[in-house]
Amino acid sequence: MASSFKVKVALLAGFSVLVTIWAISGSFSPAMGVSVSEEMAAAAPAISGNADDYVGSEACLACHEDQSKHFAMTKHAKLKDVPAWKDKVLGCEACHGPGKAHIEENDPKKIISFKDKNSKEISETCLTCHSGKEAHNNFRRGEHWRNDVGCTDCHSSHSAPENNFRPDSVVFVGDVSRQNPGRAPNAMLRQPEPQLCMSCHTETRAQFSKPFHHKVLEGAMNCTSCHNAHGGFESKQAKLGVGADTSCVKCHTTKQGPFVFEHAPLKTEGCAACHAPHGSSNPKMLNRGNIRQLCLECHSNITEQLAPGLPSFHNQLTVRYKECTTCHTTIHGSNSSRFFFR
Amino acid sequence: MTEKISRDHAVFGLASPLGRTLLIIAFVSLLYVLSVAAQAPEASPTTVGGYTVTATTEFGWRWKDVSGSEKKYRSDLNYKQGFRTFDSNILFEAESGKGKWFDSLFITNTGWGSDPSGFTRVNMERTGAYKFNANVRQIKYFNDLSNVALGQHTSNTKHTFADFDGTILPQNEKIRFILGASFGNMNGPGFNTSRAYSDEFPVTTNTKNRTDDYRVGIEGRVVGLNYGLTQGVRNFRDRTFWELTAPHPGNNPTNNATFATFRREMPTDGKTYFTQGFLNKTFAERLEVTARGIYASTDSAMSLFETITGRDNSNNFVDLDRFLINSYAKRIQKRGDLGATWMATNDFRISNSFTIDAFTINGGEDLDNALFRRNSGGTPLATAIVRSNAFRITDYLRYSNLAEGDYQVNRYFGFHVGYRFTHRKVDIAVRDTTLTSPPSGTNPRIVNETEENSTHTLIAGVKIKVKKYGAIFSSIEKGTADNVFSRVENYKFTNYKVRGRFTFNKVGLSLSAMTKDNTNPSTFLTNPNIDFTTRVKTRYFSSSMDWTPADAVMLSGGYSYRHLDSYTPIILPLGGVQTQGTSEFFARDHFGHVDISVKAGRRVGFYGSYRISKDNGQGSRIGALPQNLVGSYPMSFTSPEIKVSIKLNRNIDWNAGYQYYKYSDVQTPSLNYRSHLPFTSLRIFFGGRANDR
Repeated sequence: MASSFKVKVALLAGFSVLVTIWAISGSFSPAMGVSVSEEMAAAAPAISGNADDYVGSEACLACHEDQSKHFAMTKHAKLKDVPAWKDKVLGCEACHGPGKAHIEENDPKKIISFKDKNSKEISETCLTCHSGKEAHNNFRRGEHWRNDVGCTDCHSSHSAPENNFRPDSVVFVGDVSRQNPGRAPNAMLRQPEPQLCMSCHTETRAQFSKPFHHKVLEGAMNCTSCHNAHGGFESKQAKLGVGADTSCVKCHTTKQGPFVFEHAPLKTEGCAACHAPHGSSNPKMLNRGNIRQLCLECHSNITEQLAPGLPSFHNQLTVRYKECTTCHTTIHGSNSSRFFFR
Repeated sequence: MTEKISRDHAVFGLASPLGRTLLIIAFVSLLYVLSVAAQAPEASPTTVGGYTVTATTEFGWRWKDVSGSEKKYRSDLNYKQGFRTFDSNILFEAESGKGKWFDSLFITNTGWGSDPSGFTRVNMERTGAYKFNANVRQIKYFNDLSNVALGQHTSNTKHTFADFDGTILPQNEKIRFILGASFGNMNGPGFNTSRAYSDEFPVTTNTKNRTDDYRVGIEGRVVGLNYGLTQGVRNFRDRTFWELTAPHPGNNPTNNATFATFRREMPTDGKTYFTQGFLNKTFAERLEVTARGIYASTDSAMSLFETITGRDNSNNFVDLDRFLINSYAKRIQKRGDLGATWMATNDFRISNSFTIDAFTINGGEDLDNALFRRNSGGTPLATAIVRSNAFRITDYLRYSNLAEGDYQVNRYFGFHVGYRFTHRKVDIAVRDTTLTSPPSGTNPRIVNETEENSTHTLIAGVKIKVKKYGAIFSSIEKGTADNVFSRVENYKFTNYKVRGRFTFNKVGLSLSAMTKDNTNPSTFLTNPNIDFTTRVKTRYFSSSMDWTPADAVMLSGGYSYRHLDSYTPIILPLGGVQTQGTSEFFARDHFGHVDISVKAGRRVGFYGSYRISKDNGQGSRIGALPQNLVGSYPMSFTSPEIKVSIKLNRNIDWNAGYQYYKYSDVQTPSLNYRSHLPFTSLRIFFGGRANDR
């Protein structure tokens, strides 16, 4: 155990020392190359840092009519009305850089284009403004980043919103009728949830279509009710609920506790130790169809207190003892019974 | 297995007088609305007080005819007959882009009425001033299943949640103010069981609990440092009570225990205070560092009062068995996170995420039990008094560190590699004392147990972009994982994942495959030599395809398959003898769906879908001996749906459709059901429909 502790300390200390030296030296840029913003600038040769090089979004309208029209529907377009943003570059040039040279010379190379950039480069552009909010702080360390899923894979700053009103299911909230048709979806998403998420996470559609499931397809909750698509410190990019609690207890309030007699896995392994959070054929969305199997797979005399075995009188040949929760009713935790009877 | 469907519960059949009457009313209403709507002028956006208003609403009626197990139908679906609202929304937008009170107000709403879940969401904002979101939901839960807790745990509750979140000065860089409140309450009747005298008794419950959450915070950016601080509080209150409405002999046929009366009240009150803050800074556009800290203190207090009368398992008359229990528990949780990413170049980054999570749960109860009995001849027995207390302390500490690097080789290829280390320690201290018994070797009962473990995991992955057609993502995680409570050793696991997403002209295709292999080499406490290795293998395949050959036609479909084999050695008591056995669980789970949406001409639209979820479970496998448990949940769940939408005029569509659900349970055929759910509705557009704009 001591060795693992040393490994941890060494890792942490080493990383901290590196970061500290690097941060205070101030000399890394020449060593490592130009900064991100400088490289972005280099992609647009005409950039001179001169305010005269910015021509305004109206100038883009003449050639990029569709993009301008759809951009006008977005929240980005409204920033021009915000006093705090009055001295900043807004509109098309906020992302694409100054447009004067591009217009005057009609040269597509003299404007920042994202067509040839990878997801991470595109995301860095977005993070120029969108970093610093808690929900976005861990994007560079999240699962989506890791798998090269960038901001524009889910959000669109100026693509056409769905405007085609087709008949859809009366049970599952459709990707058209859920939002006001013709209007850019909330958060400028390319599609509303959950359709957007399921376009990659295809297996979740099957899980949410089980007899017992969280009502995500029906629209009563979203993927982002429990997950932070922008990353986070939690496993599976799960959100926290109340304080540092799991997101489950935000709604399942009676499971929050604390209890005098905790069913320990609830707090240490999480709800998914026993439940399939998206959906299941099994009642109560359990990981086993038969509750006693779920219980016995831990309570088999493996540890004395944490997962004790069943007392001998729990005769598993008797129907009564095969249904553990008939007696152990408060299996998530109890304030009045160490055996979870009440 | 022969399927047997009963029609005992078909209450609101189409053939019933009530169903026919409602059908006629709906039809007459429809004719009236159509006659009015037919005279509607050309649709154009409506203007009210400087706001352009566009809206669409759909409302209608659903009929229901269920054959088979209505209880299972309601536990799964709970769609009722009657009026319901469908997706509806209304949007107010300031004509000038900037309104006096708000720039835009958008309200969406669906599912209210005879649906089991409904929600209303509000998004309202005035750019530069505030942003407000509200989300009010209601879910009607119904659970009444014969294959859970002997069919004696049921509920029929209504759960209402509401979240209100506001940001003042949402676009202000230096400081933004955050206000939030959430409310939840759950009410409804049900059944549960109470255990006493070596027996269990079904009793009614009346669930009644409520939570209120309030949040206030600030966030912003000062001297290049992003910051946020939130303070929150949650109040929790539970007033659920249990009672017996009629004497019950209990489940155990081998004793005479009887509940004549029973009542339990255990009001519980809890409160959580939490403080959460973060700091984030990007140094010289190269190093981004995020730190987060959370402190939460949660406590709960309960006072239980329970009375029982009847007979005990020795056939004595129980004149009163009274329990008084007071308990209090407190959890202090502290969590710190530190993440840093060094953007060495545009293509190469190194990141590190460190998390430490620690909590202590400290709880205790005082029990006072007085039992007043007479023997079967009526002679009073000595009053039995038991007073005891119990204390539990759980200390938990876990830290984890993930170091990783990602490199984008070129536009088409990138990869990442990382290493995760975790360490966890859990201490549990137990002290149970029976105050009315003399001290002995087991009184007080004291147990101290500690489990400690470390895990090491390697993660790696690649992304390959296939020109303009799509991308393939692949990753692997291999190492060890926590599961110290269920098995003392770490799980050894290997997870592979491949996802591909492609677009060819008007076809979108997603494919994914995952494998998960877990083994756990735990040992049996009293005989470490026994092989006690758990093995779990899961295979997933999933696909979906969307095809839009024309604006008027959209087709989508998909197929998923999950293959699960789980093998776990167990110890279980059989006839009083602890016996080594096995627990196996299998899933052969298929899911397929096809959806088609077609607009035929200017006036008619059609939607059809077919979804099937079918799990073949364990197949022909059965446990050879009573100690060999073989489990699965073989079933099939089919749900086709059709809908026709007719555009009556610019403002109104008339919809009619039919849903069908068929559930077949291989192991418990009494749960099978079929449901027919025809419906009709009107969709009305105000301010023009999307296609007109």
